[in-house]
Formats: sequence, C-alpha cells, structure tokens
Amino acid sequence: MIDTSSRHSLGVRRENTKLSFLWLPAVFWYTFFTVGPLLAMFYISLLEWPGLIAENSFVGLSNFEKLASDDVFWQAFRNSLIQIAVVLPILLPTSFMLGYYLSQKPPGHRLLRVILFTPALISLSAKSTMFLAIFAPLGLINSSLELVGLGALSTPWLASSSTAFGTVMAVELWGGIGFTAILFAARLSGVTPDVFEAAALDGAGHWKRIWAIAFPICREYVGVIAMLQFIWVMFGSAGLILLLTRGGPGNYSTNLSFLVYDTAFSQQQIGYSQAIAVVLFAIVLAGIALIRFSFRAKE
Amino acid sequence: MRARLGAVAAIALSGLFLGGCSSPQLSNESVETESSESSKPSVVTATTLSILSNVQAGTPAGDVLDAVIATFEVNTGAKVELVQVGEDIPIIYETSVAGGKEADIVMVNLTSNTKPWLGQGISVPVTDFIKDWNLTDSILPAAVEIWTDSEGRVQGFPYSGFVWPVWYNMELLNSVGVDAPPSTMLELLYVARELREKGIAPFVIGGNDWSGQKLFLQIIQSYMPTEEAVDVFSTGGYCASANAMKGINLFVQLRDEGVFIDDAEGYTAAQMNASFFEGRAAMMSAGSWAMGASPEDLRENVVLGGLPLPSAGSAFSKPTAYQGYTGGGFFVSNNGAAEEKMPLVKEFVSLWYSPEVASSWAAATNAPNAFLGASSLDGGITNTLTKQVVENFYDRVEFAVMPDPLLPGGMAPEMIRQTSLAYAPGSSSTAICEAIDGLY
Repeated sequence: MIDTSSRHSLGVRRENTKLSFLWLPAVFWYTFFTVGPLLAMFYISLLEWPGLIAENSFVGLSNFEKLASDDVFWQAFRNSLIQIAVVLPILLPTSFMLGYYLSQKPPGHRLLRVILFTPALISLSAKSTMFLAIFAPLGLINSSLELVGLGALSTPWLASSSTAFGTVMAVELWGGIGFTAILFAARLSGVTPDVFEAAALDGAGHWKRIWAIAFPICREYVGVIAMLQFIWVMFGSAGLILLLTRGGPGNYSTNLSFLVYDTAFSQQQIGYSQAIAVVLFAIVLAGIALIRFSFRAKE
Repeated sequence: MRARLGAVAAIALSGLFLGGCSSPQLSNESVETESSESSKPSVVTATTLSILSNVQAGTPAGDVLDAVIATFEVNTGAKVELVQVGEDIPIIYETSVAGGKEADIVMVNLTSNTKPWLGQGISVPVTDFIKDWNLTDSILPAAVEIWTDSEGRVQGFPYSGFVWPVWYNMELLNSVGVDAPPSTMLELLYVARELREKGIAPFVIGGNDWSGQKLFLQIIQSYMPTEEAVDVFSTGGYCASANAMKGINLFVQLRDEGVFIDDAEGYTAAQMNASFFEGRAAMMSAGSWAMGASPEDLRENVVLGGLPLPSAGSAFSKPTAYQGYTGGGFFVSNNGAAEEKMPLVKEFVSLWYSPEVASSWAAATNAPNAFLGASSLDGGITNTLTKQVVENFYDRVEFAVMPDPLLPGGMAPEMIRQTSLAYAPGSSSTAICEAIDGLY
C-alpha cells in the first residue's frame, strides 16, 4: 500500500525539479553578477596592481600584512568606528520618534512629511555643493556666527582637523533622519491606533508609548532599518567624503570606504584597495550579524 | 598580459568601486576596405577622430577648442567625438584604455599622473611626428625639453604654458602706506601686520587644494638650489634636507605670524580668487589662467610679482614665481597612432600650431605658450595683467622649480591633504615634514 503523503511529496519534488529549470538562469545570472564581484574583490586583494593599465602580479597576503602597519588604514578604521558609534545612535532613535509623531497624524503632518523627505530628493552632488557653501570659511555658518557676535567660534568646518569629520557626519544625519523617519512612520501607520489609545487611557505618555509599545511592535523592522543604515554608513559614505573633504585635512576625515576609493583611484594601488575592501566587508558582515542578533524578535 | 586582462575583467565585474569614473565610450570607427584588385588590404582614412580633453566647455579656451573642431571637420569631412572631463582625466583615460575604448588624442597637462603613460605603452612618442609634420619651428625648444622623457622621447605635443605670479593689490597695500610689493620675507611680515591692523586679510590662498600645495612647495624651496629641490620633490627627504627644513620653518613662521588669511586651510582656489577679486585680501598666488576672469576695474590696481625672498641665505636672487609649458598638450594614443587615424591626428594637431589658432589660444589663456611665431602676446593685448607679463614680469622674478612633473604618480591628492593640514595653526615643522616624507 502506497502512503498517499509520500506520493504527494514525491509529486511536489518532481514539480520542483521541473521548476528548477526555470529558475536556474536567474540563479546563474545572480551568481555571475553578485557572487562574481565578491570573488573578484578577494582575488584582486591578493595582487600587486599599480593601476588599471599596469601589469599585476600575485603577492599572496602581503597587502594584508601591509595593512597592519599602515597608519592611514588604522586612522580610517577608527574613523569608521566613530562614524557608526555616532551616526546610528543618533539617527535611529531620532527617526523613530519622528516617525511615531508623524504616524499620529498631527496637524500639518502632510507638509512635515514632505519637508522631512526633501533631503532624499536632493542628489549627493547638489547636497554637497550646498554644504560646501554653508561650511566655507565665509559661508553661511561662519557669517551667521559673526552676525550674532560669536565670530570667535567660526572655523573652516570642512578643513579643520577637529571639525571636518564631525561636519561630514552632521550632513549624513541631516540627509538620513527625515528619510528614515518616513520609513518608520509608514511601518507605524500599520499599527492599529487602538493600541496607543488604550495605552493613553492607562496613563502612558508619548515617551512610554514610543519605547514600551511602538518600539517592541516594530522591533524587527527597526533592525532592518538599522542594518540598512549601517551598510550605507560603512559602504556609501565615501561619496560624501569625496565631495566635501576628500578625506582631509591630513587623513582626519578618511574612513574605510573612502580609503578604498582613494587607494584605488588616486594612489593607483588597486590590489591594496581591495585588501581594505575585504576588511571592510568583514566588518560589515560582523556588524550585520550583531544588529540582527540585537534586534531579533523576542519570543 | 592575460593576467592583466583577467584582472581588468574581474574589476569590471566587481562594480565595487565608486561611480564617477566611468570610462568614456569613445568611438574609434574607421573605414577599412579591401581592394578588389589585390588581396592586400588598403587602409583609408578614418572618418572619426575621438578626443578626450580637460579643456572646459563655456570657457574662452573651450571656445577655441570648439572653433578648432569646427574648422577641422570642414577641412577633413571627418567627425570629432569630443569628451570633456575635469581633473580626473588621467584615471578616466586609463580606465578607457583598460576597456579598449581610448580616445585617439588626449588633451591634458603633463603631470605626475600623465608622465608614466609613454612608459606604460598607452601613448606613443611624438618625437618623429614633430619632425615629419614640420612642427619643429613651431614649438618652443624649452617646452619640447620639458616634455621629453629620460629616454629622449617626446611624450606629447607641448602646447599650453603658464606663469604663476603673486598678485599684489596695490590699492590695499597703499592704504597701509606700502608703495611697492614686498621683496623680502621681513617686508612681507611687516605688510601683513599693517594690513591686519586695518582689518584687511593679507595673503589669501586656497590652503585646501592644489593652489595651497603649490605655494607651500614654492615657499619651502626658498633656500633650496634647483638640483636639491628637484631631488627632494622627486624622492622625498624633506626632513633630512636642511634647506627644505629651513623653508618649512619659514612657512610655519609666515603662517603663525598671520601672513595667510584666517582659516586659509579651508579655502579653495575658487574662493581664493573670489576673495582677491572682491578686494577682501591684498595678495594671492594664482596662475595666468585667472587673469581672464579677473574684474577689469581691479586689474589697474594689481601688480604681478614674485614671492618675497628670505632676507638671508636665499637660493634665488629675485622673488620667485612658477612658469611652465606643462599646462596642456596633445598625447596620442595607440588608437590615434593607427595608420588610418594618422592623417586626421596630423591635421588636428597641426591646426593648433597654425598662427590663427595659436593667437586665439594665447588670447584666451593670457599666457605665454609652448608655440612659437604666433603669439598674440606680442600685440593687441587688452588685458593689462597679460601686458605686465609680456612687458616686464620676466625681469622682476626668478622661476622656482615646478613640482608637478616631479612628484611620484598618484601622490598629489595625498600631499594636498597634508599641506592643507600644514596651513592649520599648530602643525609643527617636524610634523609637516614627517607627514610629507611619509607619502614617498
């Protein structure tokens, strides 16, 4: 006697086998264009390659050995850690609170959404041009400080070793908070208002409703956003640095993602740049794992 | 070679680098026909010439380029595919070479980034072309010498030159009782103090970019004989060179005694020009390319001079300025050197050395150039600053070593970041020299 459930699962397997022919091209395509570049990065990191048009040679792990004694790499490493330690803890809670506020549909919330979303509509180049003018020695910030009698506080924000990297992070936050708040607001809009109304009836203020009710409900979603922001900060901030400070003065605003660019394109050390990229990749993987662990839903 | 191509393919796949350095898709169409009578193919002239240029559209020089292209197209019936890019031109060209899509001609300056091209086999020597195309009498021998590599090969056709003086706003200097540009550093310190007391910024400089880097390197060679400056710029050893260290100490003294504008480390060349042109600063170091953009009413008040000398022990006898014939020229790629392209390349390059085009270029760039016999600088000059250059500038200055062609390839951006830091108060001479030596 044939077990009907076994027969059923056999049928499903056959069906899956047939279907596999349909998804195989997609898998190949994905592997070629996604896993391929990753493998290329590892391969190139083992090369001595002084420029795209120059001959390269296999040097094993010597690029990684060089990293250990490269002061610029360690400065960039420290800056990347500082960037994560500063940007994410400010961006996520601020955005979440703003998102909560928007989800309560206060008067003028539609206009506020537009205002908050505006930075996301400005291209990186336009944004950078604007901030170059704002932070220039005779720019908006310094002129305003002068106007209110605080001229002593004026400084070349993007060129001073003590303010350049902080200024880049401030611009990053300016561009990220509003956009992330909109994402959180969209998620919180899906939470039934009864939950917050019931909490209000029980005497919970906004602060408690945000952190004791809204946050646990959205915990996993916050984790996903945290992960995306983390990836953006680690991988994507090089563009902003390139346009605002070019990693200077000295190497004070150089982080790992900018260093990958700089060593490849300015210094023509392509193998070495990919060794830095491999380290950056490992850090990001570890960070993603940590974020997933921290934000996983509680049973 | 196979490994190189494999790696190029790998990097093309990776997509891990940032955008912004896309390779220009320059066509290299050519028409190759086979003779019906003979089995030997006969090559006819290509119909397209591709040019990669750092001459910007919408500028006076860009207008000359447009006019030359128009004339060339009429003369030859060929079409020019022009790609105009900015400071990233070396990496853009190299990326296009890696992709097999390089332009036939690259119009670019001779710097530490472009000098290796001939050795790397991505451009061809033009030594014979200069002779064969009868251009020997059209090009300044000094310029050819600068464009000649250690193996005696001319790397490209020299074209654009420049002078790089210190600009003095005499109206502002007069306002503090100074009636001539300072010729010694002591005088410069005095003038700076007087200007500051009157609330005028003394010396504006783009400490945040290449303009600040050049002034820094000009100041630090104040005590260095030419050979030593060439050696130090080429191979490093700033800390070990007593003369370089004296120069760095001088730079630090000028900085700490307020010669440079406040927050000089934050200024760019564009902001420097704007400050000087608006009369907010009394002195600046800027090249002849800025003369065309200067306000006409300011020009009457400007005296072009050199950087003052140390009061004792200077390696120079007159205030220093830069000059060079490395401001622009024509590199020919392997594509451009192909048989079917040669007639077009010859026609295009030769056109630039014609008296009409050379005159237009000279007028547009306000600078002595690398070509001979057709300089509008000899007459009909309307820009009074250009007139100063022609009439008496060369008698008043001595030329310092232009560092650009000497610095190792790819170092300039890193050095600029370090010199930017040098303009910030607090950097010691030792920290500055160690940071720069660390780049070599």
